[in-house]
Amino acid sequence: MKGSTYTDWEALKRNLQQVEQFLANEFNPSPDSARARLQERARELAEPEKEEDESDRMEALVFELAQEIYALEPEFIAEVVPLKPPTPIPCTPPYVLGVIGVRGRIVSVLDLRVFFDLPLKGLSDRNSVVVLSQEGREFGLLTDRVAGIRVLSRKRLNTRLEHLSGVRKEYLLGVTPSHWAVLDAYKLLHDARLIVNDRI
Amino acid sequence: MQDRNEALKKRLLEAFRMEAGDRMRILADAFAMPADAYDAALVESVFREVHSLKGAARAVSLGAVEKLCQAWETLLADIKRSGAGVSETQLSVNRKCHGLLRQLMADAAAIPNDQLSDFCRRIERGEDLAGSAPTESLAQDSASSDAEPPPVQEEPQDIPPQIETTPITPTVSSDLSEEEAAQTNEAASSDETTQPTLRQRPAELTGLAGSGGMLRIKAEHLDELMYQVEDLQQAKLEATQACLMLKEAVAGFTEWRKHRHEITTAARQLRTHIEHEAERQASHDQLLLSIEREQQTLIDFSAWASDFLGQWEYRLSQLAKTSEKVARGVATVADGMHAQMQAVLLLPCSVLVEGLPAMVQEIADSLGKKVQMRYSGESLQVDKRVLDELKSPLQHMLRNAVDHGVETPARRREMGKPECAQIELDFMQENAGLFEVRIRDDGLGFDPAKLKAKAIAQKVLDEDKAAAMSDKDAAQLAFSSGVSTSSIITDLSGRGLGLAIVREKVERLGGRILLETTPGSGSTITLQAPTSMATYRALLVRVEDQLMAIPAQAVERVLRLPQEEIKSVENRLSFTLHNEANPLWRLSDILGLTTSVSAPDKGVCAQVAVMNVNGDRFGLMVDEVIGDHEVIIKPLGSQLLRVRNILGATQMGDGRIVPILHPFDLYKSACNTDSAPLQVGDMEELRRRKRILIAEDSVTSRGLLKTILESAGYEAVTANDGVDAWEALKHGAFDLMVSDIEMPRLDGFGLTAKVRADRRFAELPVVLVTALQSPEDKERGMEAGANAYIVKSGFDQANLLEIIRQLL
Repeated sequence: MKGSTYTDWEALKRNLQQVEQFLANEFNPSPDSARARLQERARELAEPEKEEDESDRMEALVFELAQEIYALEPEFIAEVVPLKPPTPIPCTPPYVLGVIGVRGRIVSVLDLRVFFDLPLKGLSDRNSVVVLSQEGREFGLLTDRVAGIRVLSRKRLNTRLEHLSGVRKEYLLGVTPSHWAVLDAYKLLHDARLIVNDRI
Repeated sequence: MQDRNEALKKRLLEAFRMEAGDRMRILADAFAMPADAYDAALVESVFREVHSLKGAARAVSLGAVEKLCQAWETLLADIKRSGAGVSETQLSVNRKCHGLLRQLMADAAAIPNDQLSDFCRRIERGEDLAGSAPTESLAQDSASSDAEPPPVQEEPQDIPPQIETTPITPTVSSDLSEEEAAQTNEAASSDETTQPTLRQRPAELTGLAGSGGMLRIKAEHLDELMYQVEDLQQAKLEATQACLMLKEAVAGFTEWRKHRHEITTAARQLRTHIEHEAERQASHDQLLLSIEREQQTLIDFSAWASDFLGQWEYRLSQLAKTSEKVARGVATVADGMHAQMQAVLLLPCSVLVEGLPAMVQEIADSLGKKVQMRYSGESLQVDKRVLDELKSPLQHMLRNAVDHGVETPARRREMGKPECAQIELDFMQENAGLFEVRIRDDGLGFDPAKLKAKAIAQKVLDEDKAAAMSDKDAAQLAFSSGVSTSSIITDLSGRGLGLAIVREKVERLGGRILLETTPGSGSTITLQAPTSMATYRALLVRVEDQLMAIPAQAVERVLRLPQEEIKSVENRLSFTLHNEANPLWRLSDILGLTTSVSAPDKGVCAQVAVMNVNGDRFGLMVDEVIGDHEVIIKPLGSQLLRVRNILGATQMGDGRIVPILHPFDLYKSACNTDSAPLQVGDMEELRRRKRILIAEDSVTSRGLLKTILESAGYEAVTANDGVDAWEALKHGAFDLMVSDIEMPRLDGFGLTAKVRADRRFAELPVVLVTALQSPEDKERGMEAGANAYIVKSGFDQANLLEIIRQLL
């Protein structure tokens, strides 16, 4: 019995040291290996641009929210405005942050963090509102920081989203190799669940 | 060249179609009028329309149309000359002409040439064409224009006009075609300016772009322009604000100027002093020398800074002056544009009437009823935005009048009324800011007793109150949600929601709606609305740190109540006004705002807005009453279609957005607010929050259902599947269960069956919510004993909540 519970402390120690060493290397790569790796990444990123055809190219507005990066197809974006303090509207669901005035109209601002059940921290003070609009449907999305328009590859979007959980997955077109979540703006705009129509 | 001519011809034809469509619609409305309504003016206007059509047809070489119009014109000229009004026969011929014309418009070769000539001869002589019009071509006509009612059988000549075979443009589609038409018109008119050849078109055709100084513009462009003008108002305010800030900055220099002289003097003295000192001590040590140098630097800097600031003062004052000029300029332009915009937005009420007589005829025909519709006062000028909002309410009320108000001809005969019912539509200016639309019919009227009974059944009203209610007040119940006296729900009306929505729309405009009815002999609905959007007044109040606006028409007065005058019984608040105890609520409680509850300060008066909503008086306690403001009410956007207790929002002068409260909702919500005063009868029932069990395996749907139910004021408990739900049911008391069908372990059917099999839950209402759409599934659900079955694809909150409310 004793034999089976015997622990090889030395072996364990060596093991730990190896792991420690490995981790240290991974987090502090030597300048050479770091450069090599960066170059490899750069090549990877640069390559598909050449071979991709027009239909594969996809422009997207990229923004941050709750420390994650999201992208939206520009065709549904009416404008991006800096967030003025929204006026809260009583008796609306929690994901409705409030309303703001945009060119004489009133536009509601939705907080996707609430709707997607994401942590409510991590908002910087550079908030903007991305106004989505199509076919008479219109609302704004609260974003943390708008990075601008980027070109993505449709082919490389990962549309198998089993690993994602929650409501969010229903509203994603896919995830880019760099883990940007591409939102389905059409679906968001036309989802009856997001519409407040509350008669009493 | 050939191509260009072809393209030109095509454009001309398009323009003609659009113009003809408009004119045909006007004619359709005109011919829906009874014969005795034809005065000289109406005949003249019909004549003009036909004449213009003729000209337009000639321009695009539609010979057949031109020929028919020519004959028609002759007939109309005769009528005009005689000055004796229009006989039934003449009217009938006119309607026939209209019908034939429609056929020709759809297909220029629809009527063989010799037949057409024959028709034209008869028309010129004013002979009726009855019997000679080929029936098959009529059928063809109705087939060619879809969504039209089936042609009514030809009847002898002496029949009343309302079941004529006059094809009527369905109003539903007319909106769309107008939109398209506006587009083609736009294209056509822009071509007109670029292509000189088009200038040679006859006057009638150019007239469609701008006759009598009138222009057609696309409504959405006008709306966009209106928004821009409102934005300009914002710019004006910002410019004024910037100017004020600059002025303040300039004023800040006054203080500096006061000390400037002292400092300069002190510096000068100091300099002289140092120079003296230096002369006196010819030889001095290094230390002193360096101090002197430093002092010198300081003095020099102070002199420079003084000059520098002086320059800045000058620059700023110049800037302030410029900015004042800019602000004034912007203000002049913004105000001018705003005023002009208000004028541009004024349209005659006739745009509201357009299509309505035809619609009424169409509905009457489809129901086998006889109706004559007249209207007057349609030249009244009203804000386009108000008219836009009134369009659908008006259609709805007329539809209602024909569907429910007007009896069948047989029934009317029995009651000793003329077979043909009368519906009148009058527009009247009430005072400077208000106008009235009156819709009168001589049909059945509303039965106050029936309305009361229905309202009691719908729990809109309690029996004691009903007994005390006058018939006049009871009539207004027709506008309450869920009250319809119609026993059958038709496509047209009867759902009991229509008039409630009408009322809501009118109230949202800041208007009122009133029903007067005499059972058996008709009803009059009077709708009052502001003539301009700018005349909506609201009381601005503050709750915590939020501003809210209450529509002024619902506020009776504002009170400052000492704490001791507020009675508190069992957590219910009330106050006395006019020797009557009235319920009182905190606005924050009704709206569910989290407030810092503090014990009321003895010395401080409570600020109360005394509301009067349809005769129910109640008080709303707010933190501060700020005052009466003129506001422009705006919708909350397409995502917030309808928010409980909120009517819309307005943008204040400083750009802040303030929600506008919905008085009617507020009263309803208040009655459901916990620890709030209620009528004694239903207090117990409402005090306990209803508990609902949700059985749903999808996390998303579960969360969503829970949110919906909780925000509607229910207590929601969730279970992950049928087995969980069964366990929960056994251990807790529930008032209702909402269950998904597809669930692991035990599905919705099984769960329902299990619930029904247990004596304890025999009465528990069960709502099945599912993605399954098939009728068999629905049947299976009902078989298992479910009370309601909602398909998820058609799953909207309102529907679910409505069903739950009905079941509880």
